[in-house]
Amino acid sequence: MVEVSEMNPANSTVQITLELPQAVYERVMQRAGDRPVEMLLVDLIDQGLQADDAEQLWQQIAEGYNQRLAQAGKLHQTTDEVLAELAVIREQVADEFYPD
Amino acid sequence: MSSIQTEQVAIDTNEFIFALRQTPSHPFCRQLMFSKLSELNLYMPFQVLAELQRNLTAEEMRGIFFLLRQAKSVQWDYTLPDAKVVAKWKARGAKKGDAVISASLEVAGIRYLISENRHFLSEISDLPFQVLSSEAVIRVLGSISEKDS
Repeated sequence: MVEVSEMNPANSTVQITLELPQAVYERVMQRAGDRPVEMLLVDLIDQGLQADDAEQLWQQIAEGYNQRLAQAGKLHQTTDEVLAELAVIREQVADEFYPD
Repeated sequence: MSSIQTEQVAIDTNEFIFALRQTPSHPFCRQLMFSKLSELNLYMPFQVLAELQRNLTAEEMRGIFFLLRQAKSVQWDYTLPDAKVVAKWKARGAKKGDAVISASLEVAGIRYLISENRHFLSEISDLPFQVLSSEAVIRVLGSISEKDS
């Protein structure tokens, strides 16, 4: 349960009261060490949101990429086929960087 | 603390590709991108960047850059290693592309390369860096977390 205690527009913060399961609280306190627990919680929430955004973005990228693979008939390539194709690209790039 | 957590590690192109393909035989590539990046200091060689650009659209590349911001740190190395260092690795039996990667890592002093290519320069005995699969990295980081808790 989260309760908003106070909103402070002056410094763009919102004060909340947060109810945590005992086990989660203990993990947070253990992780905090000498750091103020409030700072750790802000960092953890921020990291969690960023990870969530990143995962959604990654899913979008993966869908587009796999669509292109499917159109090219390459979606079900084996590991060896994928690695072989990447090896060809690697040589092409290296040849451009270091022409003989 | 393991040196994987403190030193820079390079990620090979195939890690991104298998993670994007969501290949069932490589579940750890995706896990590496989502669960473990925040524990790593990344080093990205120019060669890997160029290879990714060959596979992905500009918009998709922006997504990759965004994703990698979750790492503890990221260094995109936009310089190419000296041709003499590349030639040294070629002379030792590496194909040109692998020689460029090896030279980049050697020059930057990187000791770990995360790659699903088990045979990456396996014929060269004294590589200055260790090739680790995403699974191996996750296991090492996982065992560290268990010890910490």
